[in-house]
Amino acid sequence: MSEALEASKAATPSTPEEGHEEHEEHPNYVGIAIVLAIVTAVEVAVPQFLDLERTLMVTCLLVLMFLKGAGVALYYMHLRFDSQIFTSLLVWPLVVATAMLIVFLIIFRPVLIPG
Amino acid sequence: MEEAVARLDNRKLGVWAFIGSESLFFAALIGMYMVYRGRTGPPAHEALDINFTAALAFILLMSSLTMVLALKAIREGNQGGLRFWLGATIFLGLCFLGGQVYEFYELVHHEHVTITNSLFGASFFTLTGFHGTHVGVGVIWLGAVLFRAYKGGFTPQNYIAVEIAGLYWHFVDLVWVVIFTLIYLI
Repeated sequence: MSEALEASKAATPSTPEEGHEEHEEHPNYVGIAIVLAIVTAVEVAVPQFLDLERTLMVTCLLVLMFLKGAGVALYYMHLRFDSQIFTSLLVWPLVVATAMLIVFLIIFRPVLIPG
Repeated sequence: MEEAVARLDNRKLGVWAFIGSESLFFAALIGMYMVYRGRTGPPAHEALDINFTAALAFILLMSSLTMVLALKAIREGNQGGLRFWLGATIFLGLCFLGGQVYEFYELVHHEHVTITNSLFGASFFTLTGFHGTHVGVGVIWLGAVLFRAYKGGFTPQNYIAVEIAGLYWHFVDLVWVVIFTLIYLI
C-alpha cells in the first residue's frame, strides 16, 4: 500500500509547485551567499570602525539585517518562486512579532531603566 | 483561495505554519532580552565577543548555502551531491554548536555571567540557548534525512522531506540573522 503510494508520488508531482520548480531557473546560490557574507562583514564593521551617531548606526544595522533576512527567505527558502500563501504564513507573524517587540520596549523599558 | 490552499503540499504548509509560530516565540525571547539588557549584569558589548560571533554567523550562513545546494542536487537527480551537501550542512551545524558551547564557557568562567546571577545572563542564555537547541534539533533532523539519502530514499520527483528539513534549517539561520544584529551588534 505504502509502496503504491510512493510510486504514485514519484510518477506525478504531488503539487503544482513541484511541477513548476522543474522548469524554474535556479538562482545563483553561491553569488547570493557571497553577497550575504559581505553584508555580514559590513554589519560587523559599522559599529566597530564607523563613528556614527547611535540612531543612524542602529538604523543602518536594522536595514542590513532586513536585507540579509530577505535574501535568505526569498532565495534560500524560495519564497520568491513559491506560493504567496507561504509568504503570508511568514510575513504576518513577523509583522505581529515586530509590533510585539515595539510594544514591549515602549511599555517596559522606561519602567526598568528610568531616565 | 481555498482551491489554492487545497493544491499545496500539506506537509510544506504545516512547516510554514510552524515557522510562523516560531517567529512569535523568538520575538518574545528577543523582547525579553532587550527589555532586561543593561538592568543587571555586565554591558553586552563588554561581555560578548563580536568577532567570534561574527564567525559563527558566517558558519551558519554558509550552512544555509550547503543546504540549498543539497536541495538543488536532488532536484537534478544528483544523489552523491545530495549526500555531500547534507553532510557539509551537518558539519557546519556542529561547528556552530561547538562555537556556542565555547562562547557559553567563556561567559561563565571568564566573564562570570551565569543564567542565575543577572538579568542579562538569564535572558541571554535563555534566548541563545533556545536557538542552539533549535540548531541541535536541525542537526538531528538533517542526520535522519542523510540516513534516508544513503538508502536512496529521494528522487528528483520525491524530495519533499529534503525541502521541509531545509526550510527549518534556513529559518534557524534567519533567526540568527536577527539575533546577531539585535543582541550582539546593537
